Amino acid sequence: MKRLSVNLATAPFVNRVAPVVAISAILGAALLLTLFNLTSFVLLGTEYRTARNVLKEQGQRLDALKKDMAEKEKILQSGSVTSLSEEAKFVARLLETKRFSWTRFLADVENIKPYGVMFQAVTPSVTPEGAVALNLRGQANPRSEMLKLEQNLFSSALFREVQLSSEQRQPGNPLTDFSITCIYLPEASDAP
Amino acid sequence: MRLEQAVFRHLPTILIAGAVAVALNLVLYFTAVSRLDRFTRSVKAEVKANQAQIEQLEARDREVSKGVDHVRANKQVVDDLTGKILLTKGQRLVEVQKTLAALAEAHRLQLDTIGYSYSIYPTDQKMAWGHRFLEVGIAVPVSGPYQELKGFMRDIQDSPQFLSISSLNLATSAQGAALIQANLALVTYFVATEQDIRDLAVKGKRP
Repeated sequence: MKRLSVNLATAPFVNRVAPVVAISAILGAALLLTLFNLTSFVLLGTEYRTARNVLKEQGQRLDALKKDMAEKEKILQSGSVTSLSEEAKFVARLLETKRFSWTRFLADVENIKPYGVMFQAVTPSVTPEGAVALNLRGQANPRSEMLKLEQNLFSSALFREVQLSSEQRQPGNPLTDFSITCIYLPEASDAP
Repeated sequence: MRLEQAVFRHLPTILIAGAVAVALNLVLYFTAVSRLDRFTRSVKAEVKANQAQIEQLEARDREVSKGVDHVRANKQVVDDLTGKILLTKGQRLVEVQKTLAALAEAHRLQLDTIGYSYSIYPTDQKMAWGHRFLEVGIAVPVSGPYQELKGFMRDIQDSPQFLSISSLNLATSAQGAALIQANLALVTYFVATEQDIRDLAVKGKRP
């Protein structure tokens, strides 16, 4: 093949690759940056506005909470609360004493009382812990009946801390006076 | 071809305009977008810190609320008891006496002498309770069958007069073992009036 040395072009050749690349690069960068800036601005602006609104709501909530707390703490720290607490304790003790059921107690005592024992005085008192402390005073005939009573109290789940405080044989007869203290637990009979 | 020619004819202008646009975008990024990003991050961090503070305060508020509710409940109990049940001596003592007599009669128990004792609570006058209470001890000696005595005690406890039995002393009656002599120590409480407090103070000073 023979090379043709004659230029057949009707217009002079101009290499346009470099200018096209330059234009594309610069305009492309400008376009991309513009798009990036616009998108970022819109997205960040929305986030910022949302966060500001949340912040505003939080501020209101914090103010309300602080105000509420201050009021409640004022109530709790006022002197009247201390006196009310003492008064409430006193009232609670009254209600606890009122709740003691003598009917149930007498039925429980009848179950453990041996035939030869007669109670003369029964004094319950509600302890600060809410338990019922009992003082039982009575007479036994013969003395072994008192021991039976003591044994029955020990065996029963309804009575704890049973202590014989005193026993005294009456001169000239078989009667024995005794005094027993214990803790009465009426709820124990309800336990499975 | 005209566009191509026009583009190439204004190539420097287009390149300068493109460069200016890029530069403006960079300026915009550094002056506005990045600052907005910083602000948004800062506000978000503030939101997070506030949220933690709110949660902490809400937890504390729940605890304090429990205390306040307890105080209010106590106050309610005390107010209900004093205002609706205990009342003052003038408002209720006669009813208590009538109730006791009626119950003794209903259980066929002999009720002859009744003793009364009075005390004021709290004993320390400096204690600033909302109310002061007048404790009235009622010593009730009764005699009758044991079953009737038990019924009498049950009815006393069930009566609306806020009566409690504080102790029970028993003895067999001289008339036979079937009859019981019992000394019941009852107690009831009233809201003490200034007059009650003055009366008891005067009695306490008497020799």
